[in-house]
Amino acid sequence: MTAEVASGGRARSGDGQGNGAAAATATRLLPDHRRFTTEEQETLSAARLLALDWMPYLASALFEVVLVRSPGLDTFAVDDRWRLYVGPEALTRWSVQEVAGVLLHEVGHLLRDHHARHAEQEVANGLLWNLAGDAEINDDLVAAGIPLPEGPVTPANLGAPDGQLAERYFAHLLDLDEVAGGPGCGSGAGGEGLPDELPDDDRAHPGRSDLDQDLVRRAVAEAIAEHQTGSGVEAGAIPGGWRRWATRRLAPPAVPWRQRLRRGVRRSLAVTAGRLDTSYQRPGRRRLPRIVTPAMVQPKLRVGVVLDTSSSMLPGQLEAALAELDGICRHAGVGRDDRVVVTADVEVHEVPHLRSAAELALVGGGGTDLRPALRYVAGHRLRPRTLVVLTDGFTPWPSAPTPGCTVIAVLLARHDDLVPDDPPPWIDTIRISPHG
Amino acid sequence: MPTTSTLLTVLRAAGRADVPVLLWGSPGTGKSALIGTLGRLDGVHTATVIGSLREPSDLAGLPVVQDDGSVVLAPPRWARDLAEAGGGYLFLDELSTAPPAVQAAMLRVAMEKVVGDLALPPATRIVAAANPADLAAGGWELEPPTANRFLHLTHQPDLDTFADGLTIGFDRATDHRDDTRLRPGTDADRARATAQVLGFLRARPHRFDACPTEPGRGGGAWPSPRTWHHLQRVLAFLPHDAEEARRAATVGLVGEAAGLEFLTWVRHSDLPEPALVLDGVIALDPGLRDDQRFAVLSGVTSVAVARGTAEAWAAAWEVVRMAPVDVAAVAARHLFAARPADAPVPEAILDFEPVLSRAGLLAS
Repeated sequence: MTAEVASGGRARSGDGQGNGAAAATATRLLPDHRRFTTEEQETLSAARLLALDWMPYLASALFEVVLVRSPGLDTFAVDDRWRLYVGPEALTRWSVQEVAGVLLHEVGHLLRDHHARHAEQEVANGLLWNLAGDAEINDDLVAAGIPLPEGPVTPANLGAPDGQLAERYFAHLLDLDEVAGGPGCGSGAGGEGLPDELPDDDRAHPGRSDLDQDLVRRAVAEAIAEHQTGSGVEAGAIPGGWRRWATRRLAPPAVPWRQRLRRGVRRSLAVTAGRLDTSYQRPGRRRLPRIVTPAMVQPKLRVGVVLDTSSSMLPGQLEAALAELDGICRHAGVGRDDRVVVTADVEVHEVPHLRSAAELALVGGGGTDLRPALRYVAGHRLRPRTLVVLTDGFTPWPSAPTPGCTVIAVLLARHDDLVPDDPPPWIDTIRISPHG
Repeated sequence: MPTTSTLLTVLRAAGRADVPVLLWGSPGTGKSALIGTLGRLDGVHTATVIGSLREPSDLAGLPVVQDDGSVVLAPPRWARDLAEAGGGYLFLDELSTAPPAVQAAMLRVAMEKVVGDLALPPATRIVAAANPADLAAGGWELEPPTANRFLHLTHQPDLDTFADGLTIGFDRATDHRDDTRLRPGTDADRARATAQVLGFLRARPHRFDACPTEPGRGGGAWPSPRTWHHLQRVLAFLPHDAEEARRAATVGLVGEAAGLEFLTWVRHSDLPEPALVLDGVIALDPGLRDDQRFAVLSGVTSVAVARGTAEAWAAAWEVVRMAPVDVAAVAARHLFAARPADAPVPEAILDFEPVLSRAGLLAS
């Protein structure tokens, strides 16, 4: 059986060639205390097999870790270069099932990037962070019936609810007066570093670069997404923690709604502003002999606002959205006289000088047709080219875009948590969450 | 977020490959200073044009009426200096805050290297800078077609370079941080880059062209034939071990999703096609890493199970038994579970008996 596999001496493939020979050399160079015995190799192989059987979607990560024999360490631990330190005593003491559980646990620390996330915390406390990370991983493992040795750290032990992120558990632990912790999981878990951790450039146990780690994280996230939709070889249940992790990993970063509204309005105004900026149609006022200079012409910026007063939105959201919109318009130089504000329930009313959402009579109920209101604003004599719609989203939308107009829909959250369908793709849609 | 050293490597590689770079960063983070330093380190002329202070004619040439009534587009001073110096860095600052007509004129300079009636030397390296839309006063996002013409890099000053800069001077500190040597960009380098880009696109054709359609998502990098071509040219200058520079260049040209998929594919591109391994056309390379072997064996198993014949099943066993037991055991287990009715139990299963029974997986 392959000594190179069990010793973890898998050389990085520099250019995808000749790493077999490199691994063999690395194995020969290995000092005695770093060599796994045959018995230990077999236990590790069997445990990895079992771990793969339980969570096949973690395969890329389980094969990516570099196993390092670490006499004197009475547990398993990881460093931030994805080396997994194996304490031979613990390996003998635990059953194969428990070793498999611990492998999944340590790989969990690495995939969830507990090392980097600890560095982002305002308070550094390796012991508590390690416990928080353990809790984030273990609730899933326990729920999936995977055995862990020696009383694992779970959210319940810490007195916190399941299914949260390490950051939450960490804040919870910082509030407690006294916390007892067992041996940590090493620097890869964001915990205290081990005395025995290898240098980054150790020849026999090469660590994984940041890029390698990120690629494996993405591969695992994609495997989970694929597994979930059942197109994989064997579709099965995936613990909620891993599902949420994969979704977060694959989703583009969420932009706060205020920022999106600001960008959306500004982009639309820029399109209008850019329609006629420098023009040779008239000569510029800068007169130079023999030189033709262009004139600068800018159209007036105008904004149309449609308020759906039949919406049953949460209190405060309409107010917040209107205040934000007011700020954006003033900043861009669109005064009150250049804004067309209409309310739409059964009829369309123009509101000449809206100062605050408190002035509006909200009808509630929902289900209004906003299309006449949009037509009214687009055809208004001021010709606004940027239309912002504030609604709960339960309305039919026009089937085709109005030429020359940009429509931005701000969908406010409802009392009853109903979520409307997406408006057509040509509308820039911004959803405000109930907590946002 | 790339470090200063990574940034310099990518800037130089893009300069040699003739790919325009767009440097994103908050105001006051030293983007202009960085390009100035880069020009001095490389010993070439640097011309800076600040978009928000210019008119289109400063970039497209000033129309001058001649005695015969014809119009000449006279190039401005900075362009004549650049042409006389035989090239160098052209730094187009504040691209995103310039008025649209100036932006359009800047784009023509960046893309075609033409200023009025003057063609800039081919050795001109274009770097533009922009402030993120939500930071800049009066800034706006780039339209997808504009964004697609650049390699996007994010500049964030790093404290180490800054500290060194204050003590030993910024030029020396920056030089000190740049320790990667570029590849010469020979035919062999280009061929390797071409093979990687083409190989990936043949395997994942849906990544060839994916213009973002949602409003508000088009301001960054996205995959298109143009950006894949740019990537092929830049990669030819980046050494294989400059991993972070390769990542920054790839993600900056084709976007995060397509870029990371490409890098993963390159990492595994030496893997043989499972169907060919099953048919015995290619032997499994003993030098493969464990995760690569595991990937190939899983592929071989699924192909054999999908074919469902006793011959395919027996052939898969021949492949699986040649691999190290602990890597192959999962494949062996799946294979055994899918035994066609007419296939005899292979002897190879005995190799896997110890490890499977130790893991307690034999009963199933």
